[in-house]
Amino acid sequence: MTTHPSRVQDDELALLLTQSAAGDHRAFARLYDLTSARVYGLVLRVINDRGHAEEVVQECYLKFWQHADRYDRSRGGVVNWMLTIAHRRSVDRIRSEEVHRRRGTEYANANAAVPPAPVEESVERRDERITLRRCLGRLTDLQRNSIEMSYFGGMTYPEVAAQTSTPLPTIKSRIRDGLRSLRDCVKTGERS
Amino acid sequence: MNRDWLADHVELYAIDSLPADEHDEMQTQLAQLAPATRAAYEEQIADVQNLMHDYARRYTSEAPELLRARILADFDSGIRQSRPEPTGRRRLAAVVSIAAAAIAIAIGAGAIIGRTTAPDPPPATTAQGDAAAAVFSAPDAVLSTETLSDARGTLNIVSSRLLNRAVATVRGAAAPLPDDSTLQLWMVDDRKSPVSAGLLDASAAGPLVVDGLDGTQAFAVTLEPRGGSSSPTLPLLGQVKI
Repeated sequence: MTTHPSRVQDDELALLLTQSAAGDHRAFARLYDLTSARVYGLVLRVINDRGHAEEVVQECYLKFWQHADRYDRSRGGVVNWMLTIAHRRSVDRIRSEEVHRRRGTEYANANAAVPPAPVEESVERRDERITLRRCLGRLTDLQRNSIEMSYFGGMTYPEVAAQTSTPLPTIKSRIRDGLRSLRDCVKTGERS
Repeated sequence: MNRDWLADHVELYAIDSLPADEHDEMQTQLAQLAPATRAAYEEQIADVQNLMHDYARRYTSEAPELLRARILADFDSGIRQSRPEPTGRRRLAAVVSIAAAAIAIAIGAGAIIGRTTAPDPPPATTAQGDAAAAVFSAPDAVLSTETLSDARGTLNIVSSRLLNRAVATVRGAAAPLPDDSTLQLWMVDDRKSPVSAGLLDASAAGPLVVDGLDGTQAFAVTLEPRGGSSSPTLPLLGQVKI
């Protein structure tokens, strides 16, 4: 595990998810209020279009309470589960024909322009961020850019290869090696 | 089964970087693994995903209020469809559309028209509630919002030119109002001085319904002595165009 959301909040989220699935309006509203900025932020970053992003977030929340039974706590917190679904739906959306056409070739540049938002965070969370930032700093620019283009730009690795005029095997190993060293570095950082 | 292929692509799979055919191939291969091996891969996938979620934290962004309303309305209608219709539903709750409920929830006026799926009967309907519900349901209903200064909350106005009427709420105030003060709403028109639209009393049961919009172009909020004033005391806490 690379993230440790505060245990208390994670317990609360798991409970809210269960209550939501049982039809509790207030629990669902609270679940939404606690998680929507993360979900919306990621979806908007990937899709880079407010209208489409809102539609995807709306679909996601429907899925969250309808498929609450698929949440497996051993694989991470509720927010992680939600973001995995949200990311997948976002890339499905932008790879669909309609949006793909609209994105055109300007996509990568436009997408890079979405500014990061300031975030309030706990001390514990800040320590994790410092570890992540330090580990990101150890990647090569090429590795980091390839990972960002794929994850935040929603591109498949062949699309990243085409966009950067780089051979496929090179892009594959850039992303793979980058993610591996990131994971190793964060794990080491957590142990130290 | 190709263990090398699996090991080589698992990180790409974790960040949704594989094209559709390879993504499907990965899922097929994972499903065929022995449980212990599969669990190890799944842990690896979850690790990478959770790492990226932390990375994505920098893009955290407040979602629009209306999206919240739509999602909560979706939830209500989804839950309702999955359950038998409760009997004895109050007339108003039955006629208020999902869209209207969405707007009502968005501006914090849900209580007055009753949450359509609330297990308890909604509060007794009033003329004010009927009027508010009509505005929410109007085909040309528009929501305008403005954050008030001095942490006095957010002003939400739903207006309908067709009905010549608006509904106002202030919610989310971080600073309590002094006992001897009140928030007052003003209708602003280019041609004449602002006209009081009423008091936005925190203790009021519901939203403020404003009749006779006519040439009103904006609403403004001021802090006034209890009971309100005949003309606004500056500075304005906020103003929203409609």
